[in-house]
Amino acid sequence: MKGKNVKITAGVLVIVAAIAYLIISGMSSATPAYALTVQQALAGQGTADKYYRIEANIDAAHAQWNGDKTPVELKFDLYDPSNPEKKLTVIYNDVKPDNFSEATQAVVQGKFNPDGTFHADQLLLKCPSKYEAENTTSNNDGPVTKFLKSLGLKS
Amino acid sequence: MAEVGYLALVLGLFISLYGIIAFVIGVTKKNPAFLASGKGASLAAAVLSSVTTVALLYFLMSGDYSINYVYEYTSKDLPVFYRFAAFWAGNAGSLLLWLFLLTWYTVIVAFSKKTKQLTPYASSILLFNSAFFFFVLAFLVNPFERVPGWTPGAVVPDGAGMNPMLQNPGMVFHPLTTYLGYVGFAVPFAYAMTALLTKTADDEWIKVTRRWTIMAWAFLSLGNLWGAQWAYTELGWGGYWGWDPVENASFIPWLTGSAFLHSVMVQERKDMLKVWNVTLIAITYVLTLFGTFLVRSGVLTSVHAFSGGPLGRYFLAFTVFMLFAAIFLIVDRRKLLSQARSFESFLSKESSFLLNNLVLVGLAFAVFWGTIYPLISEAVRGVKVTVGAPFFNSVSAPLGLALFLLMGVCPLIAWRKATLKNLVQNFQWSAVGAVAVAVVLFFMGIRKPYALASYGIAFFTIATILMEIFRGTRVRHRLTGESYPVSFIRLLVRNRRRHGGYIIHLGLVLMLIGITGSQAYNLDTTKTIKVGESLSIGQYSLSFNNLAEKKLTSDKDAVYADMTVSKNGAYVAQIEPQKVFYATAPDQPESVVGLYSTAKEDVYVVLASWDQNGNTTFKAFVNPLVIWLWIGGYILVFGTIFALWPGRGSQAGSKYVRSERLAQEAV
Repeated sequence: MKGKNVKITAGVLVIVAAIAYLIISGMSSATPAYALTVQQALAGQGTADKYYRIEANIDAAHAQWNGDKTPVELKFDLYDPSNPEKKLTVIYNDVKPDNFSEATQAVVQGKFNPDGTFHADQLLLKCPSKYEAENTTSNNDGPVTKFLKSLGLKS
Repeated sequence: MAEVGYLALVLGLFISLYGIIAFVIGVTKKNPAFLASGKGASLAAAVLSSVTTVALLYFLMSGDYSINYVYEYTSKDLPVFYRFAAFWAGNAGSLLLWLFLLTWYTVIVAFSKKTKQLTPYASSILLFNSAFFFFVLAFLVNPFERVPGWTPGAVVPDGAGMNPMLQNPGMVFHPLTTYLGYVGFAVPFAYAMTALLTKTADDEWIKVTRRWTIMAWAFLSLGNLWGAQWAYTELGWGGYWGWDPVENASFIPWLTGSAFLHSVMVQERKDMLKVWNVTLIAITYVLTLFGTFLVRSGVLTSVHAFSGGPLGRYFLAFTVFMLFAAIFLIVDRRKLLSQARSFESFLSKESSFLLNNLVLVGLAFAVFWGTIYPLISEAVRGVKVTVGAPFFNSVSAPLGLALFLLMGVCPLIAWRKATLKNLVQNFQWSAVGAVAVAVVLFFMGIRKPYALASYGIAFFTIATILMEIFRGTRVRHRLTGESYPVSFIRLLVRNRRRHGGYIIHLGLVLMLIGITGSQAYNLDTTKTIKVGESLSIGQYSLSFNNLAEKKLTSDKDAVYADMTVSKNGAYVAQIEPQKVFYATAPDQPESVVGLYSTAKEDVYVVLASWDQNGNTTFKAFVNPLVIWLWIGGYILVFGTIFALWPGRGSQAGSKYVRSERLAQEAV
């Protein structure tokens, strides 16, 4: 009986090791995306060989769309909320997502072009105004105050 | 009305806490009055959550836009269907839905006649859960909050409207089924913890919760399926699964739940894997909470963006508390869980179940690891590193294929100890067939190793299941003299639990075929053309006949492209990709995909953009075999219903299986 259990335990360990190996090799072969801010990107902290992920505000209103190019090209600027003047140009060779015009924040993944622009192969947009409103009331209110206010018992 | 709804939440919190106390006193003092009172409290909590639910629904339906929630998610011209669905469009409402389901599940448990000893404890654990949700709703995300700046008596004329992306039938069904599944896992968890608390060593909790578990699992399957379908038809990226953190958050408990469903069979039959089973259900339950934490806290960026706020912290605290409580109980009562038997052979059903469990849990861990890797890397290395689809695909492809192979092997392998001889006997023809399928496909031009392996395994699994059913039918035919069709139907119906499982497996294999085809051999192209021109993709040519506008309803206009699909020069269909514009969201159109779907492949066209000069951009995909993903998914659901259908034949368990097998071997 004991011998059998040892065998089973060994089998289990082999399988666990195999799964661990799959995860580890998956981590190293799949391109991980390193987080970067626009400020870091503009300061040249991104290197050409690495894959990056930038989460920032998006200037959707001034985006340029060129459908005649092959591949198609969507060009827009990203900026850090803390520093709206400094902008990073992003080139994305795909069509505008439906919620593009409404977007206030974007997450892009890709690599840097030699000219310092960012070539995104993934674009994810956030439209906080539609999903969940930012809390516009004062954040210092405790829940009770908020509740009283919501009932109109406190101003 | 808002006050009533809110008050019900606060009362619900106290009633839930009271219910726990009543149950505990009732059990420790053996006082039936307190036990009855606890039951009453469970019912009261459910009634109170229903009052809140009805109140919110009333506001949504009547359109009182001074309520912030109503303002955010509805508007005057929103159809009733979506007014109803707006209930779970946001944070507060979806948590209320959770609470509503949880409190009624609790009532079913509390009033259950089957489990006298376990009921009070299980109910208390569920009430504790309810209390948390009552607390969250009452003090963190009040669904009845007024719009900012509102003064009593002021009328808000119209709401902001529902996001066009959410105005899809998927919005009604996907969240509802996902939550039914998520919440459902709380019940087996509560019973498992009860078994530990009461030091009940037997497997009564498993018997009691089997239906709950399967139901929760099926709803979660359906929720994921509908989510995928929604993403496919709505988002216009040609895919159905993006390994988004929130998708993963419902996939991970689905995986551990699947592992649990299988491993409890070993405990029922062999009195083994007790610690493992309790651990698995605890993990599954905690993962449902953790998934909710991920969605609500904003720690990970996802398409299902809810805003941040304090909610995440409370969810994390609750999750951690439940996790440690479960770990403590399991460690403290480990003696109770010592197993009566041990494995007798590598080649046995129990070890094949163990293997299936290791792979399922391993895959769950891999997905979990990849999902939270940004958090881990930030904590350890100070930089957020995200792994995307390539990582998840590279791990899930081999593990998934291993699972499907096991799916073919496990059901046919004997308990205790199988011999090599009966393995060969059982599997030789399916295995030969699988290799033949792979060879034929290779010469037909399919050269990707994963695709070949996947189709070969799919054939193997389907063949072993069908042969098993055929053998069973033949045995029954010989023993009873019934005709083959009657034997076939009776075979299935007389042991629904087992054959329901087979049907589920068949559905999953069809899903595998769909996933393989659409992942390995999809084509896509993006092109700008003018009316009269066409674009070609694969064997298809799409001629662009016209771009025009039409009114759909008073608040919806569509711009559509009239396109003719032809395959190898022959006409096959007319499609109409659209962009629909809502009056409430003029800047955010909704893409309606032009879809021509056949058993072999989908032609999927998105109307992306156009300009004044008539330059119109299309994105087109050819996705092979996608339809089998949906068909397989519905077969899975059918199999679950088949297995759960009550009455004679539904309870037949492993003992029956054995006698049947003996009969079979005797022939």
